Amino acid sequence: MKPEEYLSIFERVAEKKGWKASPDKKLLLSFAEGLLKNKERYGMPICPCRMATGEKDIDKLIICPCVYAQGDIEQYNRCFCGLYLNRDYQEKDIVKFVPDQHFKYYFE
Amino acid sequence: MKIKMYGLTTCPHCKNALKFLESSEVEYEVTWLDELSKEDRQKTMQDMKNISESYSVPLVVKGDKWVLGFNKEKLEELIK
Repeated sequence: MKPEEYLSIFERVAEKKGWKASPDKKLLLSFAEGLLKNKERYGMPICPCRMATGEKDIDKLIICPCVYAQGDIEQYNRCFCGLYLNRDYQEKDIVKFVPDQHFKYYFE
Repeated sequence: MKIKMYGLTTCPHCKNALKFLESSEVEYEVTWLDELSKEDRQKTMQDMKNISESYSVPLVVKGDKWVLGFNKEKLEELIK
């Protein structure tokens, strides 16, 4: 799969979940590259902005979209990495940093 | 003073932070967490936690000051 092919997946996921994908296409392509690299590395398209532990049960929590995305979008109007956004907000109004809910697993 | 950046090779925001440093003509070094062994990664992450109270990336550090996440304005302030 090429990064460009991932863009339609982002749109479909966003539509299904009631979010929107980042309007920054260059950023989306960079996310796609990271996800494809992680899929090749770990066998799962895990969040490109987080550390994999190598423990399958833990790492699957951050397969994109991660299990924390809905809660983060409700609280911060964006997911941890900023790929998905609250559809009702403009990107300029969205916080630049979201705390990582997955951090407790990094030392497993 | 040398600048240190912690990041992930897969992270778009880390790539943006790296581009910023490259274009800023400052002296810097980068640690890619996903290229370290598990033991080294955990040790490095503990260092990051001690600096920023977070394990998130990119983390750009200069002396006792740091910027978490890609924030061009804050990075410009940091490297002044």
